[in-house]
Amino acid sequence: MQLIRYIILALLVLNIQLADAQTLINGIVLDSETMEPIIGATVADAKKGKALTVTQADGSFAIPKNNEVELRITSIGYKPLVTAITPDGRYLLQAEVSQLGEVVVTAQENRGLTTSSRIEKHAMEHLQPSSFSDLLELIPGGRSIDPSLSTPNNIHIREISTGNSNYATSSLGTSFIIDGAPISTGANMQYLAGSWDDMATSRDNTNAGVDMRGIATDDIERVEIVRGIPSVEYGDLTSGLVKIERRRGGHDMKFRLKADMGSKLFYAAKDFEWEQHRLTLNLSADYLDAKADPRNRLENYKRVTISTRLQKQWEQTDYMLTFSSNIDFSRSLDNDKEDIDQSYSAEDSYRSSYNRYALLTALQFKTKRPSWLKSADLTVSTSLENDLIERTRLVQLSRMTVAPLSKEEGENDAYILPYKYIGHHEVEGKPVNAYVKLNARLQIPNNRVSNSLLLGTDWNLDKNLGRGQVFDPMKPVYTGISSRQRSLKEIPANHRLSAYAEENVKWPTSIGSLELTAGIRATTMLNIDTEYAMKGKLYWDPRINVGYSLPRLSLFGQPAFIRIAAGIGQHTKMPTMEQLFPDMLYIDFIQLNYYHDNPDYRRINLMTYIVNPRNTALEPARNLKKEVSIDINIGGNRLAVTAFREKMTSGFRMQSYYRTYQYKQYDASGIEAASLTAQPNLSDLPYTVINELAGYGNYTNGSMTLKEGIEYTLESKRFPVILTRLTINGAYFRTTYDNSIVDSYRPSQVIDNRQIQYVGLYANDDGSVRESFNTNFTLDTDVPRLKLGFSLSAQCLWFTTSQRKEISNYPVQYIAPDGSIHEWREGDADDMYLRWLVRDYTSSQFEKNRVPFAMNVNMKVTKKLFDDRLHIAMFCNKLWAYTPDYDSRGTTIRRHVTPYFGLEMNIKL
Amino acid sequence: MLKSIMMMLALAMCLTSCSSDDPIPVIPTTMVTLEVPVNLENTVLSNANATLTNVETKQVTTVEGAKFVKDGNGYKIMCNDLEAGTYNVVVTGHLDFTLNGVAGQKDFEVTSDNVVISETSHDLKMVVSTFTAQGGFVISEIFFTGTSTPEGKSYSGDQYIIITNNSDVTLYADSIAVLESAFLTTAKEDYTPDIMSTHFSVQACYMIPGNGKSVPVEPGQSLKLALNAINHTTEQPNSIDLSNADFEFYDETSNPNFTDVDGNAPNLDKWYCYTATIYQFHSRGFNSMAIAKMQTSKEDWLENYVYDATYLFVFGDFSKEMTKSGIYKVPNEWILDGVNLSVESVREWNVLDASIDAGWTYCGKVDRDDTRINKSVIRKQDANGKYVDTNNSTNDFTPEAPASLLNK
Repeated sequence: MQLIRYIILALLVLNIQLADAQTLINGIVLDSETMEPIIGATVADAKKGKALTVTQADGSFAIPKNNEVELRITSIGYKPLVTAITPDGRYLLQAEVSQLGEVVVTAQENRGLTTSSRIEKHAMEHLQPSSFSDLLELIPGGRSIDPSLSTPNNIHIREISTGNSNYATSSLGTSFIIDGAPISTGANMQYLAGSWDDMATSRDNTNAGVDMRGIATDDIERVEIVRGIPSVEYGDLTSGLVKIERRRGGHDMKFRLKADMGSKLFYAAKDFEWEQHRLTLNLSADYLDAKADPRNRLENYKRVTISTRLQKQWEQTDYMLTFSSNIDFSRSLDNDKEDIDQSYSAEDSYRSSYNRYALLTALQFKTKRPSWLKSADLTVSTSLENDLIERTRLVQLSRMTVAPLSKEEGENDAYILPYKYIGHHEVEGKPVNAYVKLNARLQIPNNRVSNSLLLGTDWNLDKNLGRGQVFDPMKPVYTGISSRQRSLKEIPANHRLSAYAEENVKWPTSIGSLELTAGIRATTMLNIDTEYAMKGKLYWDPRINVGYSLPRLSLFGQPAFIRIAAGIGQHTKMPTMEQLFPDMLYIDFIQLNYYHDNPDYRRINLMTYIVNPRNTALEPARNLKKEVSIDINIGGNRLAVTAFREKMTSGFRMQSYYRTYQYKQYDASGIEAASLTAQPNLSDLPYTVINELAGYGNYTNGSMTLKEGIEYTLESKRFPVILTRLTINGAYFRTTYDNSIVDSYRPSQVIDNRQIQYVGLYANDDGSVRESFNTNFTLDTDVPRLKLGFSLSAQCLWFTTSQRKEISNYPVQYIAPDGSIHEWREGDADDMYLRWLVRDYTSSQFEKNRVPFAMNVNMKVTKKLFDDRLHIAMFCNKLWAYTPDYDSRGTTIRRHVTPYFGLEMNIKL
Repeated sequence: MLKSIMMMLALAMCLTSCSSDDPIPVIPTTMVTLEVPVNLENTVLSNANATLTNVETKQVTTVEGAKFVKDGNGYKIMCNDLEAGTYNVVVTGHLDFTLNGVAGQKDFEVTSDNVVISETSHDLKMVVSTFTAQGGFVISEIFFTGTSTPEGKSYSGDQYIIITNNSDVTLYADSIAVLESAFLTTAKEDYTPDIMSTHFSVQACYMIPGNGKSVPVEPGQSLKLALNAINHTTEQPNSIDLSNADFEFYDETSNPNFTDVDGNAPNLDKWYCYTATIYQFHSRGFNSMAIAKMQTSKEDWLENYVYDATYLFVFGDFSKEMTKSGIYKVPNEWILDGVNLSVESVREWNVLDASIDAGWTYCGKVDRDDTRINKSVIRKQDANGKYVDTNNSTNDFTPEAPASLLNK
């Protein structure tokens, strides 16, 4: 509270600073079509030809009072405006290439310095998405993919993902921000400990970021997908930023009904706007029902979202205050049940639900007077989730199986499970997130450069109040479970505090215009133990984007603009709660396994060790992005090309480590079964002490992801007569994955009654290089007279390659049963035991695998009827495909493609 | 007429009196050659006794086994100073031998009546013909499908394999190993080098322990080798009581995730297994099985019988040269019997050499056929109760036969 008081005081002081100056003429320069401010336009004296000033970040300018003066306002991309001083101070510049009335159904490259794709409402309407995942088709490198809604959908920007969870930092490090509030996944602990079945593991989304299935698209007004270097305003990300802005205001009542081969979607919304009160209210609800296979009713995904968005503005002569508040509820439900007719029992089921309640409150203050402080924003968002996984299974064992129960280290008797029981395992998570962000935009008036300074701070809290893994240890669904129950409340809250500053400069000169965005962000983790390496450490993210626009020129008789830009930036993603505080591991060894016909005399004795797999040396994942781009616009035909290189050497990965443990191996062979009257007594049994190696996993920063590539987008003007516009976009990506940490492996072979007792240590593992090169040719035709939109997209994948990094079959060292580490020597490969440490990769596994050309043609049609009140749309992806057979080392590979189609109806009342 | 009869009698009298006058010749050495069935090797004779009874004088000459001299696989018995005459000869004894590498034993008694031993004929041949020593151990049943619980879940702990002594001699089952093929009959690859004509590639080898003569199996008798030698019906009513099994596949481990049941039966010696989890037979029968007499020590086999195969792996849109590791090999000569198992709808090849099994057998004609549960492959028997063994399991086995131990 104290903090907020200071901030308000500071705002007031800054606001007063420049409140004199009655001798100035104030003006604002706007785009005549979009009414957006034009930054860095040169305001000159038309007669004298002398530059007076440049417009600032809000398009405003101020010049000394002189009513005689005639102004000439110029800005690259706009027709120069020569005008007398206007009474209202508004100066509208006309774009050289008019975009007026243009319906854009593709993603567009953002015109700012940051490399990003903008997807507007029209594009979404034309695409007919079921969830946010479908929109990614539009960004360079994207391709239409059949929706797969029965497992989580993660985002992969600028990469060819392998699906390997050790390289999930890319999707974890992509931040989704809806109306200014980030979706936090930092306290997601929804995994079924000990699970091995596909039903559970395929739906595990911990440490993988946002599940895009849960984001409905119908309320979205616009999306900006930042592929390049985002402003330092945005933190806790490594790879990308998705900014979603939802609709505010309007008067419509809307319904949408969509059905495709796997899902049905229903959406209803009511928009209210009271212009005189500057008040808007939007209510909406959406329901999605998707099935993995339309014939199977037992495996499905359901989503419900309900949204209420309120905004109120107060406009005074000196300032404008905007208050926004959103209340959102979303529910995702994965259901998977066994078919009773086909199998065992009604009990076998998997159910995972995510219920998220979010409250966002934002206050924006904008000054209208010339002052250093231009605007200030306060965003407070909180969310509470109630997540529950329920797994029920009829367990029927084929063997005497034990459930270790001891929560203490030491010798203990295991519980022998019944052969048949119904196991029930729940995972209850209640992640709580609080996020506060305070921003101020300042401006130091300057007649030569337009500038603004952004200062801000944000604080994020993640805590989980759930009970975590909940199961009866005497009736486990997963008998091999190595963790015991713990309440997630015991895990300390993760606090993250950041502060940032960023300067934006635009300097129009006679030899072109220079733009610069340079900022720095500092982040620290609070509330962690001193033993953690991150404790008290500040992580700095400097990010710079620079651009140079050539002066206005003419090419092929058309006005042309060319901008060259480059950027470099550091990005930091803090580890998640699960990565910082993984479950304790209980490593049990059987000391005695005695079976008797009489169940009362059976005995399994264990030695239990507890291992804390916390890695206090864990650091955040950091990604350094570099890119250069060129943006050429000739008469409205625009080509944007970006070359990038992103290197993240500290991605999170699960690494296994081995240690030696001791246990007693009791010899039960002397027991006379017939004479027993109770369980065998351990003290009567001879034993030998055995050394055994056992592994455990912990999180490290060992994953390297290097993303390189070129993205390109060519957007043509809409050709007259045929009313068609051509968009060519695509990308060449080359993604290198590597593991910088020694990998260990223990062979599972059993030789002479014992598993091989050695663990090999290998210099590296599982690296790969993948490439892909694609181009989408999209022809979209918009016939306003017929209210008909039509697009045909030929999506060509020129090739994809994959190549494993060549790794040695031989370990560099090995661990012996007593824990001692030995160097690998040449003759070891002939040793009866050690030879199993030699891995069996062959050179051909490291050859490059290349999949040649494939093309899909997708078609989409939209038609508006009844005065635009009814809007019908349909799509057919892969309507036609060309996937030639090819030869791979003597084998002919045939590829098959199945079309995917859907239909929808929108009603606007 | 009478006169002539008298003459004859007189002549006869004269003849006998003549001979009783001459001393009966004594043959210095009489050689009795004892022949044993040709397929026996390493024969060792014990408790041997040769008795030569003179038909006329009823005099009994006994030769103790110590005087039996081994000659090839047979024996020679030297009898000194036998009176010429007609003898009844009886040779009894106990033979230990190896038959196709498997230790065996048999008591025998050979008799030969009215053998004339004279100066010109003093070598006689006795042939042990009371047994033929044909056949040997065979796999008589493999129950790999398991049973199902009343709720319909599969239960695999009751898998078993039965091996039977199909010969007419007692054979020792010590150091006979149950082998599971490393390759699947449902995935044909061109493994390089191709050793199938000389070796069987295995991923599991569990051997019957013993000192060489610990586990005698009478002719026609069987050994039940159970995955878990317990009475499964107490926990799983649809299952089998295997508490009387002769041996069990026990996987000793310190990992409580893979606890195996150590039932009453002695454990097989786990020479090698590809996995540290619990071993069980492929429940759809994708691996071939064999039994072999391990003819070398465990250490030697583990040290010197590794096989590294490479092959080209093709899947979807890529192909790769792969190494198949975790394979040991067993020479085909060691193999006593082998059975290719597969499923018709997915079968690609046989992984045992045709000299061991030229055919294949099955439970379930399509993959994952649930009706295969409770069924076995069982070797057919001929009219005499002998198991048919033509080294072609297509002919020799009854596929999808009800498991013989079920409901017994």
